[in-house]
Amino acid sequence: MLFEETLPKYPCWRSAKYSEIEEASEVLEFMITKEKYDLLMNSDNFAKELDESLMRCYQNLDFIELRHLDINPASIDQNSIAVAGNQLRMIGKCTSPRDKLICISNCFRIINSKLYEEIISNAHQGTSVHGADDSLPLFVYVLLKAKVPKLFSNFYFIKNYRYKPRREYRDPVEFKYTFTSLKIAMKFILEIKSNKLHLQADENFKELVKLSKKKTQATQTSVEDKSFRELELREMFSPAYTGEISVGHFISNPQELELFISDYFALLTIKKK
Amino acid sequence: MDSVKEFKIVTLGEGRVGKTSLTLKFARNEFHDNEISTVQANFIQKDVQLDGGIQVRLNIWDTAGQERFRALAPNYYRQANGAVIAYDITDAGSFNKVKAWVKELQSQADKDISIVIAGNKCDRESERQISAQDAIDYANSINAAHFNSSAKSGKGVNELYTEIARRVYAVHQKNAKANPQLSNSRGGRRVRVTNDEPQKPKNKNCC
Repeated sequence: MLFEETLPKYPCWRSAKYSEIEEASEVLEFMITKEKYDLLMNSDNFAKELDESLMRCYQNLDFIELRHLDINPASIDQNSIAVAGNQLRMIGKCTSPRDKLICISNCFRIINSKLYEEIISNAHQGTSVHGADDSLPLFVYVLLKAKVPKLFSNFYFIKNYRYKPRREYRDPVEFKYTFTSLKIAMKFILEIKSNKLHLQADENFKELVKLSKKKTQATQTSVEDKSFRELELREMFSPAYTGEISVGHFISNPQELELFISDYFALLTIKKK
Repeated sequence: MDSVKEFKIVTLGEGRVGKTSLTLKFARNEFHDNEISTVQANFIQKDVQLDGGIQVRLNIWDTAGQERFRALAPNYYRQANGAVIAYDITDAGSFNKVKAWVKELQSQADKDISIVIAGNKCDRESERQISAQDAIDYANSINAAHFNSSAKSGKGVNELYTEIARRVYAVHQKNAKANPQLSNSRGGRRVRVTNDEPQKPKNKNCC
């Protein structure tokens, strides 16, 4: 999505400063992703598959406790885990890549502030500072407990629709760092094996997974039915979004994009009148 | 417009060798005590003054060093300009990890990546297990710099980060001369054409 390159071609933007064009591009990104949110979010089968894999992993790994990831359980209260998880869950309500990035960063901030409080309270005991060694395992734990639906789709959405130079260069380091951490945490969860966890001698990974599976499946069948119904409904109401048009085509086709942009300018002028 | 060049530096090393403390010590010199509550050490941004009045901005990323996250490290050092690899001079095992990191960086990271090795906890000289000369020789053999540092006393910390800043800046200048169109005017990173394939886990099920 090269708004930064497309915009100067329009007469009204010809004399604009680069910073103004950047800002306008940010707004355009926001508007277009909002308008086409359902299409952009739901068109990718690869992302859907991984969403399901993640969901399965959440269920199977329901048994994981803080100690399995070598986090001292005494220092973390479950309440703050829930708060951080709720922040992350907001990601599903945001429709622009930037807002989604903010949700991830907020979740990370809560994790860090909780860790920091703990460090202050332990300061007199000479506890060392915290960094990624502490925050990443806790982030993984938050992901496991929050069970955010469609997390990978959201991640993929940011990856694809946040204008790449902006995501990789101009965005604040916080966005880049937390985005990378999310990627790492999800990958970790998807590839988890018994040797990645700190298990006690009497704990058997396979047994634990079996137990969690049984427990969650008993309670979650009803939820699955509901989400399936929702999907059906959405497809009924938006026939134009299913089928032929692929997102890759949409993005790599500059003419279509220009059409989009001119549509938006038309919309804007109408609203002003 | 003369913008400050930005570089991405990753801090690598085994868990608990004091990576985070190093980064934080470096960042903290700039902060007053009452502002410390805003400091978190996952990523920090600090400007470094080089010879000739050149200012560069380092974005220093902390990484999780535990063995269980080891395989995911390439995500951290992707597009990094420099790496600080820390080890604990009182722990021989952590120095062997440095060698593993260097090998990995040489084969998988950006080929221009600058490396600085930090022998941390040098305030505990009496417990030293790694000979300083061995470490320096090793660093020279891979064209890296070696520093003895202590996050506790602050010794060597600034020198270490100034050195890595100097190195990444030199690489940037060299590349800018060789390929003026490839250097990004807004940052020190080079624009690379990468095969941006979606990450595909080998094993879709976790068990």
